[in-house]
Amino acid sequence: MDLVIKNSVHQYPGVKQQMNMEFETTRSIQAFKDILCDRYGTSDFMWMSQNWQPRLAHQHTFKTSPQKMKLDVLKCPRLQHVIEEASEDQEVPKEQLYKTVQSILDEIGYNRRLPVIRWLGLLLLKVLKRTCNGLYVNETSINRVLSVMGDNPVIFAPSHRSYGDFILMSYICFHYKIEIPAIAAGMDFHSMWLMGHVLRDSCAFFMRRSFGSDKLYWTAFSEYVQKLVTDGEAAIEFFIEGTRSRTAKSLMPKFGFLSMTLVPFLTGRVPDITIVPINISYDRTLEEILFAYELLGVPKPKESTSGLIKALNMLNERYGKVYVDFAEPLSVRELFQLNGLQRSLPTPESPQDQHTLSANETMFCVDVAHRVVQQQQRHSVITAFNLISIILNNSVLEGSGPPLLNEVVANVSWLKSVMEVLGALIDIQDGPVNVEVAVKEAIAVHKSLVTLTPTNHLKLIKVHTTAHRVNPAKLKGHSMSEHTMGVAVPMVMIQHYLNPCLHYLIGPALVTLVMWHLDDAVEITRGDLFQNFNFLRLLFAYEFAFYAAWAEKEFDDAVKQLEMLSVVEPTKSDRLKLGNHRKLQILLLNLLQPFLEGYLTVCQLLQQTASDPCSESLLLTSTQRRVEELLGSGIILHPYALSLDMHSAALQALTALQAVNRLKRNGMVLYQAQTRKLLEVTQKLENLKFQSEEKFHPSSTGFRHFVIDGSQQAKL
Amino acid sequence: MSADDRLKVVARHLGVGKNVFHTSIAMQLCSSENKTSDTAQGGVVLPQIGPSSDARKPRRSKPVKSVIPKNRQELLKWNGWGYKDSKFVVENGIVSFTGNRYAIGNLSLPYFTEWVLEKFDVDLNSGKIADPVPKQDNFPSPIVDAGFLDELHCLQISFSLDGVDRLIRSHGHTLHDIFILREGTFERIPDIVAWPESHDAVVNLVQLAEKHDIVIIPFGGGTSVSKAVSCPREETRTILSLDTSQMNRILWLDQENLVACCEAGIVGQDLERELGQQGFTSGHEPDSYEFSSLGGWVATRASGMKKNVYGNIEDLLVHVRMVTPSGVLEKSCQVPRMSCGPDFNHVILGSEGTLGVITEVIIKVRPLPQCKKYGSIAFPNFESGLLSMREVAKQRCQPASIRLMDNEQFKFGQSLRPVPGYFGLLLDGLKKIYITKIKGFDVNQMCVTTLVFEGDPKDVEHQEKKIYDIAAQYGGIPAGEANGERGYMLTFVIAYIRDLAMEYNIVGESFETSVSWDRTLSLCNNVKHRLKKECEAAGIRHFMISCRVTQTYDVGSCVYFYFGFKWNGVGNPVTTYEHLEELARDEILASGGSLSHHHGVGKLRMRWFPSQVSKLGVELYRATKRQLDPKNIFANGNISKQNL
Repeated sequence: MDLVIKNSVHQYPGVKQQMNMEFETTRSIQAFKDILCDRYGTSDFMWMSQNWQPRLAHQHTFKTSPQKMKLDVLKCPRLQHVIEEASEDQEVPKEQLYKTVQSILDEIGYNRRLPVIRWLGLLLLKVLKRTCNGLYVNETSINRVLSVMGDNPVIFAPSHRSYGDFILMSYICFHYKIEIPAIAAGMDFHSMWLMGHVLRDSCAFFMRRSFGSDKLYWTAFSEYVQKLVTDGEAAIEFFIEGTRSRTAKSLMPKFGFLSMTLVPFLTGRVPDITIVPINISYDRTLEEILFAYELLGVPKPKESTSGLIKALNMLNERYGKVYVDFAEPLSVRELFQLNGLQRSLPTPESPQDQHTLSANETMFCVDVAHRVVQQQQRHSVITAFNLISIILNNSVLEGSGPPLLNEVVANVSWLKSVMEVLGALIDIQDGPVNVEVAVKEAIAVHKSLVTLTPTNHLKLIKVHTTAHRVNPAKLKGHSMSEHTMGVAVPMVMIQHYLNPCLHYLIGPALVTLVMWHLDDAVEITRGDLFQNFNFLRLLFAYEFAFYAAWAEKEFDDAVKQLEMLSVVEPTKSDRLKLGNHRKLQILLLNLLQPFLEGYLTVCQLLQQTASDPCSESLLLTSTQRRVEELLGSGIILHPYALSLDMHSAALQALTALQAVNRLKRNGMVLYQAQTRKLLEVTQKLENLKFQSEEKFHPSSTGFRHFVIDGSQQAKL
Repeated sequence: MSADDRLKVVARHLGVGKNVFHTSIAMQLCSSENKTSDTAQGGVVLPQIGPSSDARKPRRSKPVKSVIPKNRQELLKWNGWGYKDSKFVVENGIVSFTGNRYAIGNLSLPYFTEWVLEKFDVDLNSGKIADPVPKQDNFPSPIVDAGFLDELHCLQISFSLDGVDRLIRSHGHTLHDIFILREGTFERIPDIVAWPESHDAVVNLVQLAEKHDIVIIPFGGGTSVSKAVSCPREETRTILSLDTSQMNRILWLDQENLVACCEAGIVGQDLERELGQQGFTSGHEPDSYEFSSLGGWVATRASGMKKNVYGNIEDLLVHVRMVTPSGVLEKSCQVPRMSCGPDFNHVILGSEGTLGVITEVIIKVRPLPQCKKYGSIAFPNFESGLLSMREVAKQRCQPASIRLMDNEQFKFGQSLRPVPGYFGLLLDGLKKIYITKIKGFDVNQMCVTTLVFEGDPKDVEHQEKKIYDIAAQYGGIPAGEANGERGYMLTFVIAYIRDLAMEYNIVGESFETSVSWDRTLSLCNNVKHRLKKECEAAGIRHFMISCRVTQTYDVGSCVYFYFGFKWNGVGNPVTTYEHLEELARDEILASGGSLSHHHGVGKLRMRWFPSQVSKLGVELYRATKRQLDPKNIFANGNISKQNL
């Protein structure tokens, strides 16, 4: 059928333009209110047991319940159909499959017990008051969310950096009297003794990580999610990144769950869906050490309640401030129109069939997912420690020795002004005194990672101890030496804290990198520059969650910003050349260093070993081994190049670039180098990397100056 | 030759001056009204074949004295809905309804006044006054060829070149039409109005038009809400409005087979009155039935309120004749059904005047029901009312009519009641206490289903019990006959409200769709949601969006929306309204609804036509059009662009 429906997004009298996807310039740190501040000096118990009448995300006249929803799903024609099919195929009686589905739904389904929520909230409140310097919520932005709630399904899409995220989200909802959202949680929590129940009663529903082939499970789950969207009165909360980002950078968004939630809109069952991207920024991440080990290949301990109790030791730590900001709610309907799409008219369809997304609809989901991630990034709050980490990292790579406190303060001030030009919101008051206060506070909060020596030098603490040793058989990657681990753990942690700044810096850094390596031609046309930029953007697509469709826009923005910062200058012939802001240029290049090193090593290794198909785990292990060797010989400077996440991101990108071939054999994932293309990529990378060595002369022993042994520190 | 030149030729030909010319022609030709119908010009001339030639059939051609005169403007408003004597007026800040044609006639309506003030925040003391009837000189000169007039004269078909006659046949009753009548001018109106008085006269007229390449736009009751009778503005040929109103006899009534053969111009109330006098009814009662015509019903695929008992027009229609430039399309027999290739009646049904003129229709009739009873049921909310309706449809126990109004409409309906006496007040109070306190209904959520029962008293009693039992399962409680009756009276009166509203800058319209059961609720919600958001985006603060489910079928329902808003002074209210209705239609289609249940496509909805019937469907329609009307003289431009 051909549709002659024209795009109806045209102006008519009296209509004000509603969409404003551009960056909001009105964000200010003043809008953030510490919602814990009124909890001091009053009874937490009274607060958590208040008469609570929440605002609903989507009001219905017909009230459903968690139990009824499961029952409705069980009765739905699609599930019935799949049961019948499976019963015939597998020759299993229908009744049995019916029971299976029932237990699947019991495994998935959320519950809502207000008393449990209240008690959990009380516990959380006590913990927060003990460990945090404040839970800062942007009230202007949450009021904006409240103003659009009520008429259609709402999705909360927070960034995911810590287990703390969804507990905090629920507490914030309680605080602002918003119905506790139904939260998509991973199965790992489900198996935790007691906690599984507690979370379920606090509105969590559970999702298996992989269920590609299990049609019964898939149908039950997607029907359940659609039921939540169409019939639920609470918002649905899910993490678009799929998992906690161990690196504190945004992960490439996942599209599966999102597209499930959008189906009711695409099929005309609901008028619109509101998506609220949310950023949660932590001064200090609860899992900082665990994440560092995981990135290096030491597996995360299985979520267990005893592990949780052990984690209670963390109650004696300080975690600084937490910031939560709600981006402008996205109307799926408006986005759909903005993309020039029209919902396809529902053609006669079997109620037994699942709606399969058309190519356009799939593209749309990808677009929405990236927008959500982009909005999460743009609503982050940068703290003093993020900037200190950049400075410290830079000092290490420059080999200039541990910086003095006053140098750090001066550099933080400078970097703050740079980051503000790039659009970051930074929680440091202006003025040198304020910066110094903020820096000192940050060092105090992160006293387990950095310390000031009596000579006022800022040094790293060797976090790694023998206590962290694990059975080499359990390692995901290569078993590294104690020495390497001693250097790597704190450096990876520092990287964890500078990473949140990277989405502001990455575009400018890539442009700068290309410009820095211009051979003889000092000037470059925008077109050539974009070609090179785009190559790097494709190569780092999975590292920085780049969306291909936005390459040009981001390039233009980056060049504009760099011009403002005097890093590049336009010439008379409308070409570009490097500007005179040498300090920032070097800082940007240093930020890219570990990624260039890591990616290059992956390429070289593939070149050498993967002419025949090679398993992923073998590749990861040998890459890590090679990086360790190169670190030892001083060819690689930054231990972050050891990160397994980086290596797998590199493999994904190389697959997308067709420099390697991804095969599946007997359920094993294998990679095979596509020699010619891989060589091309490797050469480009080598050209970008090697020259940088000439610029700096770090000593391989440089780290030693930076890292203090924990025990030593204790004596200090 | 310019229009003026041509006119001069005409005038010379008729031997009178330009100014005298209009009136004299009109007078002279309209006087043909008194002619008896069995003259050669208007008599029953039976064709050689076809059912009417069947000797067994009683031949009782009955001239019908229509309520609506040939000069429609004598009785009906020229720029608004319905009778001149019936309208909402504001006196001393209170709204009342004039005339005694309707139950709320001559009553002051303080509750309604209150409702209007609350809903739309208008100043009832400063209404806008509509433009007066245009002066003769202000009408565009008719483009008419003298040769054609000559021949038309020879055919003894009455016609008029009078400006007002042409104007009132240049439009239907969309908001746009009425707004233009009140505050603007139409770019194109018919050049000539003709009143053929029989099938044969139509045959001659169509042949003449074909010969002179003159556009014919058939005009029945003029109640179209799809811009179907509007003249395409780019049409340069002479446009002749073929008014079927003088072709309104009941040619015969066959009591044995329960069918009646009627001429297409008969309007609903005349048909019902005449059949009723003989103890019959057609049972076809669209909301416009006072004014709309049988031919119009066929041409738009109309639906009547009581279709559950009597059927929609396609169920009622047994035989139909359509005059096309290529000949007369009709079947050769009058049988209950037949298996004989595709049913070409369905080419005629819904053809919207683009293929030819419908001249005679044989429809089913039924004996008048012994008992007619109203009823109503209050539901705590729309969803439960809808579930109850769905169950009624599932059990196929629908009474003649069953309609569910949403809360908005329920409250609106309640506001249209007159001030009760003391006793009534007490009763009102008690009822409200019962509903809200004892049954726990929320006044801002409750809805009402209105019912019409027809048939044997015993059957009616049985039906009532069944319906109320089903309703009870969904929390519905009987709310009395009076509420039901008021609901249906409202149906006729609601059309008058727009004229009052426009005086206060409130513009509004109804539109409808049909949708499967499982999508009915989401469609209602989606459309309301969309319009609310779009109004807010457009800075419109005062608006009303309401719906009712008016028909039930085995597989789905018909939903009717009322949408109106107070113009906020930005841009053109009608353009804004039309844009919003377009968005609402997009939402309807995306929610699984149809383009139209019974209003038709017209010119208003033609852009969606291909998406509804497929590309091949459009080609098939065009091929039909090419075959029946190769020169495109039925060029009213409805349904699909006519680039043949």
